[in-house]
This record gives sequence, C-alpha cells and structure tokens, in this order.
Amino acid sequence: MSPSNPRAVYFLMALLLTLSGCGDKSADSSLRSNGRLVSDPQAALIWDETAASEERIERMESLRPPVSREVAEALLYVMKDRTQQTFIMEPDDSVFGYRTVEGSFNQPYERVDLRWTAILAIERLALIQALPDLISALFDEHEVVRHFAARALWRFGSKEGLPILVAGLEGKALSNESANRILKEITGKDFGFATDIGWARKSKAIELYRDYIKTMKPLRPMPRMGENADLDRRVRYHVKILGDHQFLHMEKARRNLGMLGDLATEHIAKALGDKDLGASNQQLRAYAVQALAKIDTPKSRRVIVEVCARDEAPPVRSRAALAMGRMPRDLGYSVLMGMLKDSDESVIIAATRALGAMGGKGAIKALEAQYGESGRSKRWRTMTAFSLVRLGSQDPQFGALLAEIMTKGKPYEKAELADLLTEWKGSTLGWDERVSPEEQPEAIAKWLALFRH
Amino acid sequence: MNSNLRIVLVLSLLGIAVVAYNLVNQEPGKVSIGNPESDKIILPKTDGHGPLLLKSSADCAPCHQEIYDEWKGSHHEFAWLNPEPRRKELSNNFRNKDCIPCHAPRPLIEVGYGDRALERETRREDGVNCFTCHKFKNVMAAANDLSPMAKTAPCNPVPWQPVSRVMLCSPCHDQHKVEQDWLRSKYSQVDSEDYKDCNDCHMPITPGPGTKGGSRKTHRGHGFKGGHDAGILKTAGIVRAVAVKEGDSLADKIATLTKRKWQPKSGTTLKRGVLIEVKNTGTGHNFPSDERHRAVDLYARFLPKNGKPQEAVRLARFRNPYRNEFENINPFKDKPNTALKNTISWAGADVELTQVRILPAFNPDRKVFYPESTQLHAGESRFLWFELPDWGGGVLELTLYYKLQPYLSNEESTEVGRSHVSF
Repeated sequence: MSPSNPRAVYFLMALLLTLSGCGDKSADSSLRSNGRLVSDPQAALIWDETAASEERIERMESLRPPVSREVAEALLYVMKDRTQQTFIMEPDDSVFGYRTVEGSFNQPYERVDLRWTAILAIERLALIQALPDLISALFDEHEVVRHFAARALWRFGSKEGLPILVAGLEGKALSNESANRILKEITGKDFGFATDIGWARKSKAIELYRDYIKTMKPLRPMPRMGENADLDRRVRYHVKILGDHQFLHMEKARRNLGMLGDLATEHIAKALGDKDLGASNQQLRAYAVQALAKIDTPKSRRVIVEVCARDEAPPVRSRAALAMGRMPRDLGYSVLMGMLKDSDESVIIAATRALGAMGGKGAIKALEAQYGESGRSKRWRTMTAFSLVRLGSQDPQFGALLAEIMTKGKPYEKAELADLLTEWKGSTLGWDERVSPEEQPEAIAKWLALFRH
Repeated sequence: MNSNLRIVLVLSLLGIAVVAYNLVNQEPGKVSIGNPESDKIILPKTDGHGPLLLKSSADCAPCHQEIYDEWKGSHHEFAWLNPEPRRKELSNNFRNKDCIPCHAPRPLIEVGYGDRALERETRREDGVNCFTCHKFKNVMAAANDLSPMAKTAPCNPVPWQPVSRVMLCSPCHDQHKVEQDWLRSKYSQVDSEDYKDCNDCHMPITPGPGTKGGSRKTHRGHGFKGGHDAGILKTAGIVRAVAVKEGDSLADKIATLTKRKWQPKSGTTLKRGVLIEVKNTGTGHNFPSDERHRAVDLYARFLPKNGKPQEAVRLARFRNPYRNEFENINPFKDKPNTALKNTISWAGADVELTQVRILPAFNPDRKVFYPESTQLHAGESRFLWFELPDWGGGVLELTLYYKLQPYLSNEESTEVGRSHVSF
C-alpha cells in the first residue's frame, strides 16, 4: 500500500475493520456462560450452570423491569431446564430467531426451585413472550411449577391453567395446598377446601371450584399478533415446528398452539399464506388444522373452512373435514357434502365420518348413494355404514356390516369401531374390542339393538 | 502498476471477499421448514404417462414376485398389524393417531421427499407398502435404469435414483436420530472404502432379477431385516473377555484390544479378575438403535467347577432410556474415557465394577443427541472390569442380549454374543 495516498489507506482500514466485525457477530459480547455468549451480566449469571442455585435464584428474584432480551431468554430457558419437555428454543441468528434443542433431563425434581423462580420472575416482569412456554410448563412433572405457570397464564389473559389448578386439588399436600392458595387468590373465593378435611368435603369444594372457573372471564384480553415482537417470534417458531422433522416436537408445538387461542390462529393463518413461513410444507399445513380445531373459535373455524378445506394436499383436506364435523352445521355442511366427491378416498372417508357426526337429511341420501359404489375399500364402506346408522338410516345392511365387524372383525377394525361408537354415544357401553364376543354377549346385544334402531 | 490501479485491485479482492463471506454465512438466514435438502431434489417426471392402474401392493406381485414375497412378512408389511406398537402403553391400538403416519404412511415422495411421513386412510393393513416408497402421483419411481419392458408396464415406472437414498428412510427412522448417528460414523463417508448406507445392511444385494423377465442378475432385498432378525443381530456387536492376573496392566490390555492409547488415572490394577469388552462392531448407527424401547444387556454368571451355576447378574445396560427412566441415565455423561465405579451385589458378595467408555476411533468427538443414552456409537467400546470374589475355580460366562423392550426377560430376548473365561 502506498503511504503517499493516506486517504486510500484510511478507506481500506475502515473496510477491513468493517469486514472483521462481520466475521464475529458477537464481537461486542464479553461474557461466556454455559456455552453462550451474552453481553448482559445478569443474563450470564442466570444461564450459569456452574453457579450455586441459591445465587441464581437470588439473581432472578432481584430482577426489576425493564430487563434485556438476553435476561428474558435466560429465564425462558431456566423455566424449562431439566423438565420432560421434548424441545427447548435456543436463540440463534436464523430467520426465525431460534433453533430447537433437546431438553436435558435428570432426576425428576432437579432444578425445580430454579424453574418456579423463573416463572415467578416472568410473571412479575410481565414477560408475555413466555406465553407458549408457560403452557408447556402446565405439563411440568412438578406440581408447584405447574401451578405457578397457571397463575402467570391467568395474569397474562389465559384461562388454560385453571383446570390444572383444580386438578391439583386432588393431589397430595404439596399439590393441593399450593393449588388451593393460588385458586383462592385468583377467584377471590374460599370454598372451604383444606388438606385435612376429609374427601367428602374436599370433593364438594373441588366441584365448586370446577363450576366457578367456567364462569370466570379472563383477567385481560390475550395479546394479539403484532403487539409484542418477541411473543410473535416465539409463536411463529412454534408454527414452524409443526412442519419440522421430529414428530415429538410437533406434538408439543401443536398442543401449545392449540391452547393459545386466536393469537395462534393469526400466526397459523399467516403461515398458511406465506411460503417463507411454511405454506409449502404439507406437514405444517396438516398439523395446523389440528391446532386450529383445538383452538375452536369463530376465527379458527373460518380458517379451517375457507383455507384448509380447499388445500391441494389430501391429508390437509381430510383433517379439515374431521374438524368441520365438530362445528355447527351452518359452517361446514355444504363444504363437507362437496368433499364426498373428492378425488382422494381418504378425504371422502373423513367427510363421511364428519357428516355422520353433523347430521342432515341431504347427508343420508348422499351417503346411501355412495355405499353402492364399487371398487371402494372396506374402511370406506364401514365408515359410510357407521355414519348412516348414526344418522338413523333404516336400511338393515348398514347395521349388519357393523355387527359383523364387532363380532368377527380384525383387531384393527374393532379398535376403530370402538372409537367411532365412543364418539357417538360417549362410551362403548361396556363392549371391549380386545375381549372375545362370547365373553360379552350383553354388551354386544345392546349395540346390535342400536344398529337396528 | 500505479497506485490507483493497485487500490482498485485490492478493493476488487476485498469485494470478492465480502461476497464470499456472505455466501458462506448465508445459512443462518435461510428459511428451513421440513427437510432443507428436499428443495434441492428434482421430483420424478410424470409427463407422458396415463393414470396409475395399481390399487395395492398385491398388484405389483405379477411382475415383481420375488420382491413382493420378500416384503410380505417383513416388518414393513407388518407395521400396521404388529401387536407390539399397538400395546396399550405405546400407541394403544393406534388411538395415539400420531403413530399412524409411520405405520401406514402415504407415498413419501408425494408428501415431501425427506419430510415427515403423513398417514393414509385406506389399506392400512398393508403397512409400509410398495406405494410408500415408490409411488409419485401416476408413476412409480425405480432406483435403476429401466429395461425395454418398462414401456408397457402398468406401473408407469420412471428411473429416479433418489428413491434409494437415506432420505427416503429418514422420515420415520430418523425420528430418534438414527440417520444422524449414521452421519457421524465412518460408514457415511461417501468417498471412503467404509461407506455403507441403510440399503447395504437392510436391503442387501440378493440373487435374482427382481422383475419378471428382467435381465439383471441381482436386486435389492426387500425384507428390511433389522432388530427382529437374529442373524443380523449377531453381526451387530461383540462381547469378549480376558482373565486378568496380579501384575497385569489393564491399560496395556485395553490398548492392545482397541489399538488405541488409553491412559487411565487410577484404579487399573487387579489381583484376580476379568476384563470385558462390549463393542459395536457391525452397526452403522447406535447399538441398540435409537428406537427407545430397545435395550442391550450384558449378563454374567459364574459356573463353579464344583457346585451349581449361579444366577445371572446384569453388569451393564446399553440403551436410550425413556424420559422417566431415571435409574438408567448415563453415568458417563461428559466423561468419556473416564473410569467410573459402582458396586453390585452378586451371589452374596459386593463386587466393585469399573467401566470406561472408549469412544470410536472415527469422529470420537461426535455430537451426542441424547446425553442420557448409554447406547454404543458405531465403533465404540465399553470396557468393564472387576475382581472376582473367592469363588474358587470355574468359568465366567458373559452373554449379550438384545431386547425389543427393556423389561423383557433374557429368555424372551435374542442372544447377540457369548464369551467364556476360565479361572
């Protein structure tokens, strides 16, 4: 480089400095904790697995708002540390802002105090981006963690944790005392529950709580998409996981989304229309239908009817059909009737089942006509017969087919019939598909009478 | 060269460096949903073919009888009917609907090559059938070039090599990282002599053309033998043992067996004892595989010269435990090559057992997906040693059992290997 041209030297030096900065995205970070580079010393200590639990707890308890994003991420990690969660979201530089890692686990109660302290801090600091993670924490193996998560969810506008608290009343002392204390605090009611009052009085109090929580209005509206960027990022990543490789991760993400209400509906609807968010992934679209069905709000139903039922992939359409079968008739009936002419047999089977649950005179006529079609599979025929029996068709051949499956069917055919009958009558009326017909003549006779109307 | 030209040249080089940097580092910004590799695959061509006339796998038999017979009775065919996954504590007769996609999958190429499987609603009793791997819309993908007969075949065959790749197996078999284990083993090194993929062991080259009237001398077997096959299990791993007498160096013995230098810190001298090695010698992924229900157990029993044989005692268990199976979590976590001790009760005596994990020579620092797992990586050895109590002369019998479920007895399991040491 020519020293006679200092401007060029400065320019190049500036370029080189810029370039060297590009190479290390964490150039301004100064602390390494538990394998992570962080710049906030508070976050470093919360992450630090080599520090004593007491020290980490003290640090979490002393947090006051506002806290950095790094601190929030550290709390979100600690609240799931050593649980049975099948995935943990680790922040990274990807478009989604996270990657999925397997959660480590150890002894069942290890780090429990850290987990509930993190949840208490999240609640106190009003970190609403923790909403999906708090739903995960409702399934923590430790009851106190579950109960604190339920309270935090209540404060953030979700009722999803209240049944968990009521269920906690049926547990041992640690469980029922913490659940009762939080329920009293949340409801402002004392139904006389105490650990040592005997099961008759405890059961009565539990029933009163169970009824009361149904009448409770949420403390505040749940956040919507666009209100909190960090929350949006976390929910968006949950939607992405629906299409990821690991089905165990998908199951948890689907469950969490299904309990997030229309916040999740909005994110799912957006992803279904955006290739970059997963619209081209068939798995994502298929499991999104199940999450939407669990959310079960007017908005989520509309997405199922208007978007998912028209999807190009048969597994998405068939899931949409099953979901529509549980909706009011005015929403999905005409779409389901159209699905009976679908090009894919799996979609027809699902629509047939859904129409059996939904009802409608037109459905009986259409299903009776379809039963006579040749070249169809036995499962298709069985589902048609079942829906017709359920809808009250008088033709004896449909009941006869079901009776044949009940008495002589293959184990997998009987298992599915048991599910259908349970869906219809709420139980199998004492029929056990694993037991031979000779050993349960009364239960079978009950069903045969129902098949014949 | 004048100075301006030099500046231009240097700036150009820097510009190239910036572009190169961005290219190398673009991965974090890449959108990845499902399997990112699937975007790079060109799907089979469907033009020029009429509708597919085949309805079930049985329709494939007239032309591919050998292959159909191999598949019939395989665990792929059995995937839906198999009572094992139907057990109440597993899928509960497939009431857990999330199990169905891998036990009765739709055509994998149609739902997204390399992506997770999705379930089909019809002919589930066919399990993982011909259509699962070969069907794409109106054609059937074939791994090899086609013979002239293919032009008139009712299955509309098209050559499409990706049908034989690992990505077709991974949607189901990588749910517990089996493919990921393999990728970290020497068997995944494409340009090496050691390269072997799923097909080499589970779809071995088999005599016969595979197609009626075909000119090929061999075809890939479609029996998909694995953990249910005693023959293949016997090639999966070994157990061997040597007697140790006072003055022997365990470190030297281990180094001789592994052909690798291993220097323990302490605890490697015995008066009269035994050194045992259990090694994953023939499995290209973890042994047992990452299917969580599997277990491999090492049992020992002493057969005295005079007197009746002792009860067998379990010395070690190799498995990826269930998430609530805390007694089986990995004692070696973060401590490879470190000797760990525990005491076991054996025929009225307390025997101090020492174990050490000697990582595989190839890629020893591989990523461990399940830190609690005690499975043996491809090429990994586990050494165990102990002093024999004063039981007099006799024979120590060591047996390695493969168990489809961790709570099965030895009698219900498959013997993988056996070794004897005389005292």
